[in-house]
Amino acid sequence: MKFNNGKAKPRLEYETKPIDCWGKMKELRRKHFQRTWEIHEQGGIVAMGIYEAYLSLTAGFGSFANPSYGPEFTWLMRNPEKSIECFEALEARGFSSFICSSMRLQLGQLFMGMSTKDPVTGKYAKPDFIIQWTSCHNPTKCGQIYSQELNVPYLLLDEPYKDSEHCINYVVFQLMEAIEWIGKVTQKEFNDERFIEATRREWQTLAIYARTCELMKTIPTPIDLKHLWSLRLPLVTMRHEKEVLEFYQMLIDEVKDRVQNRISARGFERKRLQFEGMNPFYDRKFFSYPEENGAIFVAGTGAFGTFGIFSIRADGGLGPAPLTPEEAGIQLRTREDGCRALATLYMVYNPISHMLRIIERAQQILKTAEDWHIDGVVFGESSGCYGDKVGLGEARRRVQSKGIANILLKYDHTDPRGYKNTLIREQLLSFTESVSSR
Amino acid sequence: MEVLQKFREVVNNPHEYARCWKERTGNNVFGYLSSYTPEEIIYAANILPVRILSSHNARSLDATLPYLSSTLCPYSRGCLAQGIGRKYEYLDGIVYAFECHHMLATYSSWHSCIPISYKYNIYVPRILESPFAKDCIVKELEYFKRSLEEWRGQTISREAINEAIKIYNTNRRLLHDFYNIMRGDNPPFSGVEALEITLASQLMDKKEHSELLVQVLREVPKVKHNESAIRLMIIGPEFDDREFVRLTESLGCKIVFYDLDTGCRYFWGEAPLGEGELYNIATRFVEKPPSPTKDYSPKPRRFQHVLHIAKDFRCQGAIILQRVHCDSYHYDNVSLKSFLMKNDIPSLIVDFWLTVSKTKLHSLLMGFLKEIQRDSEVNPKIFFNEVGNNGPSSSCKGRS
Repeated sequence: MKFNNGKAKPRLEYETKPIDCWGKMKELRRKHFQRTWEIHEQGGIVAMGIYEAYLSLTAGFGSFANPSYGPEFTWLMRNPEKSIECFEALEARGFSSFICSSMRLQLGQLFMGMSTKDPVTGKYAKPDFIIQWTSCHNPTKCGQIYSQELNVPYLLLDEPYKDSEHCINYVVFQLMEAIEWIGKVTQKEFNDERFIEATRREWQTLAIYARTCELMKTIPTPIDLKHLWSLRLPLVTMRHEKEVLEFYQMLIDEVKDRVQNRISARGFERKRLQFEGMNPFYDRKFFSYPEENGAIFVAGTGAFGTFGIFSIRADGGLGPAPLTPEEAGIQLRTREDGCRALATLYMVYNPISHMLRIIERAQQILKTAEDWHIDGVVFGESSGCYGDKVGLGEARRRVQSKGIANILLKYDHTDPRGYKNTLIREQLLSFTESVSSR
Repeated sequence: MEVLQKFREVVNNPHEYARCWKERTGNNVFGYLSSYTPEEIIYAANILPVRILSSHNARSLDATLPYLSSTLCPYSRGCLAQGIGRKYEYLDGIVYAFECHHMLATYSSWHSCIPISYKYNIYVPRILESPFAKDCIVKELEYFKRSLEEWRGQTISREAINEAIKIYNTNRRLLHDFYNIMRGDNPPFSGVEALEITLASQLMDKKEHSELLVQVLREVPKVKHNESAIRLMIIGPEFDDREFVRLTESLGCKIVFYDLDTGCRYFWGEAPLGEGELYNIATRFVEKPPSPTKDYSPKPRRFQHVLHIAKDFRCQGAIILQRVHCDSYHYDNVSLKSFLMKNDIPSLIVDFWLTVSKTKLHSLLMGFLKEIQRDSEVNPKIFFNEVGNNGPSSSCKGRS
């Protein structure tokens, strides 16, 4: 074991090197941020919300920006003292802390005037509308308040957690109606061909991303969860774009090459860990702490399932999803075909849409631990995320019943007040020491 | 009034009532967890639907820790605690019609850890104003009905469902009639009695409840009227802490309306009758006053309903109950309070966990009542009694 500034550094056992397409990822991220403030000048629209699915819907109207509920979320996580100001601004208005802490941060940005203002240039970009999927009522309630405060129309799309035919039809009808609604609100024309192309790309990008995650079953893993948390970012708001699809094609080729040549993520892999739940976004070293014991995070249904698509196997595990809508038996000819493809993509194949299928989710977590050859599972229970933690108890019971080592960490994932990074680090180190090596 | 005692007995010991009903009729009993449950379909299958209520005992929640996080809604955890504690051993089935993910977690863990013969989860759309929501609900109800028929080995006829809708509508109408009395001057019933009647409706065979309620409505003129008091409404999620209501009323108030999931929102509005019985049940779901998880429009429907009630019932103030971790209500409550204040209805947000703490209740309410008294044209006598320290009275038992 070597020592580096007082921290233990494990001996390298495998070859490793940086990821070649990392720079391209950063370029795409910058593009997303800049777009928010320039899109109106370019004739595009600003659709605000936790709009991380069904992106082709607005792509059919041309270019759009999707700044979430506040474009400074990442910056605030890197500057916790500023995020505390946002929380306090919200609390001063009488809101309690017993709501989703991500939404508290978003609402704090709203009341501090940060949601619609470019911090660099001071430019304003009022959204054309708020758009929100109802997979969790927290962002939906947040959108309601945003719509009231900014006096901006609110488009709600209800996504059932069941994927039966009538539930998919329910979503398809809403999507068709939403297209008419957006057209009226923005006075823009919808192009069916553009929509269909974007839908096909959205499907492909998510499928390729998921297959990249599956390559992390390899020992040693070619990339780890820390890499993935950054590499998934272009998917969040731009998965329908040609450039982003090309990026993920490039990425999977590189990862396959790393697998073939046994190039590992970090050079060591004494223990393989899985992370479930919400990590503390403001602690950028969270996923690095176990590395001092030679352990790395190689799996997580949150990272895999939020932006990847999988077929759910009979045993509840994650298998490869069809690469294209056509492979899934959906021919894309008409607008309705596109809407049906989108509804099927998310409701059937995207695990995050099934988050409230609690038993199913618990089984997915267990099977992921088995399939990705996991030595230990870290459950991160955030007091500030009600949607995520409803299933963690059940998942943990299943993992324990199979004798897989696991630990439960508790904190708030966006509110840094009360967070003790030394405690979390020590808990992770003790846990990884106790986990048996392969 | 002797008949009121019968409601109280059921609320004090719902399990005894359900067990006796089961023995007496030879039929099954199902538990349900939300007010969007299509009870009429269950009732039409000769099954008694009973609302699962939460434990009031904080210690009992520890048993839920392997299944549910300690930072999930304590009410939903309390419901699971009741199941783990074998209070609901007599249940043959459990049904959950989606309203919030905390209770969905309770439902999921229930059938994971408590042996039960039948379970079903119905998806009720979150956006009930959507023109497509009703059709989605109807389809869900069709699947539910089919599932129930398979379990029973017997079909549920349309006539039986229509008959059940009539029985349920009768009960809803009678409850409306009862609350019309509470709307009047000097209502002769206490807020505790009103709450017990409302809760009992969710725990009893509707026919039996209606028979008792008819007796109450018939005997009203014989009851001595109480002195006037400050008229308040209570707004919030599922809530059944009668001791809180009793203590509040001991300070000189009268609770005349409960805008709660286990209160008036439960029975508000009737299902239409006629062709398409499942469609009629769905229509009622779409039209009834929504909870925050079913109300996302920029001008919340719920707020308009609460204001209408507050004016109609001449409420001088509103107590907004805010349960810790009941996140959906927390988003609304700040705006709701502001909305009511703008419409001259002072309101007080009361934070609580499982039940409302007595020690803070007195000082909280005193300030609020003084504010109302100052602003009110009527100047009722306010009795500044000390809050008793002997625990709940024997007539208002909490659940262990």
